[in-house]
Amino acid sequence: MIDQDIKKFVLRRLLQKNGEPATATELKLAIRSAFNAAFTEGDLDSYIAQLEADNYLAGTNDDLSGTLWALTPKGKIRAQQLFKA
Amino acid sequence: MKNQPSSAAWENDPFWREVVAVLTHGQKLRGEHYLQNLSEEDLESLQVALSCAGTLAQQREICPKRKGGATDGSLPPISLLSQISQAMREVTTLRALQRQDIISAATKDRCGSLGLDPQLTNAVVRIVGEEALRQQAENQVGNFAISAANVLLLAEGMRTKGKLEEVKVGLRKEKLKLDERHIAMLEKKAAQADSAKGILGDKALTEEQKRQRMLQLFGM
Repeated sequence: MIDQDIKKFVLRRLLQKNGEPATATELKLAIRSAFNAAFTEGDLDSYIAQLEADNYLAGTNDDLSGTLWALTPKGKIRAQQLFKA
Repeated sequence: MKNQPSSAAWENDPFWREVVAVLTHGQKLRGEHYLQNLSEEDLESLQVALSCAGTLAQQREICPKRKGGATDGSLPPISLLSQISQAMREVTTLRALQRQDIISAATKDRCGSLGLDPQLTNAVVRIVGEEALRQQAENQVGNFAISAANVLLLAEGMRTKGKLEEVKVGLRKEKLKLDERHIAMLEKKAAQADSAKGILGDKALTEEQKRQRMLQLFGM
């Protein structure tokens, strides 16, 4: 259940950024701030990888910042459905 | 004419609307849900209770009691408080991140107006943002400048490397020109040596004529 919550949190965070991408480090640190659990780096990488595999996120490479992650159109629609606050 | 149902207190508060959106994943909150019947004051008490130090069982004791329905007057279950507490934490984190986004955007604008390299500015802002998050996640206060300085050094290193490559290419071109001149001189000398050999071997010429030709050949 927490896995799903974390993935939804990542979608929400990227939706909040209005199309601005985020580094994997930023996303992982945000998860660590929002969830009180002992995550390994592998756990956190796997959440991002699962979201990419589900075509909710797409990564692009940047020389200075490494991989930058943003919502795909599918991810954006899903995030908007989930969080109609 | 039917009366419109009055809205729940959580619907009038942006923070609690977001908490409910996280709890329900964008769905409607059930009518019998604990939050549905809490007043504005109750919601405030709940927020204070869940922000207090201590276990959920201890926090539960100071939470507002359920209102209405079969469980009226009872304390909410710990499992529900755990969900609400987690949702509150997510919303609080997202709000803090939103503030950080606003600061980052303002920084980028300012750096842009100062004519700084946008790619470098983005990288520095990102690194400083990550550092802020790391400190928040680890509940520490540290030096933001170290990471930002590392990015600047990396960028400067890349720029210096680029310049070094340009200088190397320039030097290679110069060396190639020198080599070409050297070859041309060697070819000229070889041609002079061949001519001198011909003059010296020519039996039809007198010694004086040979000397004159040799002086002519070497431009003396």
